[in-house]
Amino acid sequence: MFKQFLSKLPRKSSKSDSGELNRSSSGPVSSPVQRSGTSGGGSGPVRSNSGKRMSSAVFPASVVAGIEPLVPFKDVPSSEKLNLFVSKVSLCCVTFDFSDPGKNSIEKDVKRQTLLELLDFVASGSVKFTEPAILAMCRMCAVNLFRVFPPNYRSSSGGENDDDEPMFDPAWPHLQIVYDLLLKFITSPCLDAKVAKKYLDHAFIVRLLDLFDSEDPRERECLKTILHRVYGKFMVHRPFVRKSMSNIFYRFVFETEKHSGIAELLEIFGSIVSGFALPLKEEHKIFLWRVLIPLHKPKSVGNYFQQLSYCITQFIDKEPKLGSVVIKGLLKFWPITNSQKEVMFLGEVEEIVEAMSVMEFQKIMVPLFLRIACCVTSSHFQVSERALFLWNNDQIVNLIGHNRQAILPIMFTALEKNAQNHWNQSVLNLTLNVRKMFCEMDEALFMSCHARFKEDEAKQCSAAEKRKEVWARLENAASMKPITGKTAVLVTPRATSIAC
Amino acid sequence: MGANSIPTDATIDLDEQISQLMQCKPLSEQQVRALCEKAKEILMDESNVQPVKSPVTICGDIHGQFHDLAELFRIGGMCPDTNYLFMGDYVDRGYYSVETVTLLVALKMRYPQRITILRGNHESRQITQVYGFYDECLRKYGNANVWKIFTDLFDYFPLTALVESEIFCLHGGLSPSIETLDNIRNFDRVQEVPHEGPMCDLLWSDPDDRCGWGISPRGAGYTFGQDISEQFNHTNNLKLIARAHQLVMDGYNWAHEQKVVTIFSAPNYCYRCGNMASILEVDDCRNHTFIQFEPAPRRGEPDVTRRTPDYFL
Repeated sequence: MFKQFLSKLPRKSSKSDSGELNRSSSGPVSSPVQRSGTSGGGSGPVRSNSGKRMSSAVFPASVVAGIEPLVPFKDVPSSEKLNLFVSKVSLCCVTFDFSDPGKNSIEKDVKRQTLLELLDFVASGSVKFTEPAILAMCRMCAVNLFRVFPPNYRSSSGGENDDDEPMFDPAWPHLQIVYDLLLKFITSPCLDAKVAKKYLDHAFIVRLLDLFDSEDPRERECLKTILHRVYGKFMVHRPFVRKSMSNIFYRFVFETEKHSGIAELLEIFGSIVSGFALPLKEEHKIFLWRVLIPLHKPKSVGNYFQQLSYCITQFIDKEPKLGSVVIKGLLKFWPITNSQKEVMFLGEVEEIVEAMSVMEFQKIMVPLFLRIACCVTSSHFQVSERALFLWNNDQIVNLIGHNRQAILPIMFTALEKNAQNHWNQSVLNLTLNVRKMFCEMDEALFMSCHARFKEDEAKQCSAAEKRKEVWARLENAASMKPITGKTAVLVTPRATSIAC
Repeated sequence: MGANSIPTDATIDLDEQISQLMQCKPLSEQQVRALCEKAKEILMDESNVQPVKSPVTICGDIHGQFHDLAELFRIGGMCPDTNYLFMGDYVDRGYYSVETVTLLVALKMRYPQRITILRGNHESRQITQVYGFYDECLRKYGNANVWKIFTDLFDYFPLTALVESEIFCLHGGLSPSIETLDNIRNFDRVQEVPHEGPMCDLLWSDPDDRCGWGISPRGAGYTFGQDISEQFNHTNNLKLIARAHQLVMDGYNWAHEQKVVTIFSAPNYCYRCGNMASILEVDDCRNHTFIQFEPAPRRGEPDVTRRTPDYFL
């Protein structure tokens, strides 16, 4: 949002200089003075974020003595190809420092060419991979890809910074080909999962998952495809992959609230869920309750909300009875100091409720509509609007109609309050529409709610009046009585104004 | 301003509140309510074109960057030793909108003749719900009451000011429906900032290199060219239009051959734009001096500037 805002401003800063030059003609304008505050205001140069954003990961240090290109695949007989493959793969285990583009440029190019040759070779699918070849590939991928990321300097409140430009890894020219190669390798019909699982093992998977924290969106995109294929091909690793993903989610929700790849991981999980067999295993329902629902809690939920919502609807599609469970969860984690999040929650509620059966709806309608009544009376116009939009959904209006005896009494006060004094015109109009809808639905019920509302209002009024009288009497009594001893007595008229 | 010299209970209270606010500690909801009720009385008596005498220091957007406002006072002098004219946008974006706007309103209460606070486009119900002030009030007070109290007060803020009959100060810019200052004096400003019309334009418009009126990319207000500024200044006997509303990297920026100046007083805007801030001192001989300043140094602030530590490079 911020970037859009800035980009709309004419960029004029560079012009100020010329403005100053011809200023002498216009009288009493002196040149700018730069003063610093008494506290030592000059805090050093402010780092501008302009220019290329780069993050450099830490590579295992390997000093390059120089690498020589090997003969092309086409120049060796078939029997030798795999040996050459291993040699070429080993050659690619050398890593380079990309923070200085001029450094080792010849060697970097040799490695790039070799990686491309390997990519062609794997894609051609001509020879079944032997164990030494698989081992060499896994080692090479590990050396190139598995690395420690520099600390993330963004604030954890991703929601506020969703407009940040992404960080790009300077080593991407090599990383990208290695990722392509790994993907081709895993999906190759020449790779037997039964043999490969020994090398593409749990440790390998864990480190692959760690990479999802990369700040480079291109890298996370590659990883998404690769993990997807690993999950598809290595059936034996599936429970482990799911467990490891859960662990990442747990750490994110309950400990760090910092992770760059939650959206990508959830996207993969969404398609995993859609493949679940019925009836759902208990393990999966526990995942919904313990992982997916709490994932609504972090401040940065906006960064992965779409993917999260997709996972949840996949679950409910599989087993509609989970709808009420999810609504209960949302009510438990309902945001009260973050209006943007509240709007998102209302959107998710709509999506879930519209697909609900009457039976399922009745399980949660009372607590749900108590919350929706709060949202309707929110001073935040977007929250209030979003809540009132629920009445634009025919499915939901139908459910409300069937259960109006329970829902209208909850909603009535909220609608009345809005109609009396909401500051926003569009909220006001929506409120009046919803009120009219209820009135047309069941006039008798509407009138009885109205009568009760008036009654309550009168009761509250007289209670406030009574309270005021009591305070007045008390103050009067206190002011008559002389202050004795060391008792502190504070009587101010302000005390009365705090009432109700 | 002799009225300020006799301390009364009210001023002692206010002085305490101001010193509390200067430490970036917000007031209680009751205190805010009482403060704003009284402020309303003072502000409603001010004109849509509030006359201001020199010397005065003119400031632009603050946007909840409380520590930079404190720095501004260290650099420009504390109120009431220096007279101030703020041109709006006290809230939203920064982390301390509540403290910032409360301090300015408290200063206005304590020294009504020494400080003028105009309305910016962010002093509005709708904008503050989208850009942060509303949520900040929810976080700091647990409910929206303080937001409501302040946004109700914003309706009373004057829209423009006129320094010594020659510098016209406002947040945004000119409006095609306004030719003279009397046009401005004549409308009822006590309302939410409308989506269109003269009141909206004053708070939303921007100067532009192109001549005439243009459609603003902001979706509210207009862009106006040098011809418009020259005509307006000529009609109203003005030397200069001082306005805020736009980020300018040096903190100030001349436009329209010095008929218009933009002043921006939030250094390193949003804690990451890397811009300087500035204020404009107009002395008693009507000389102009721009003072530029950088962000106040502070600890414990979320570091949102993204950079790779040097030792990794």
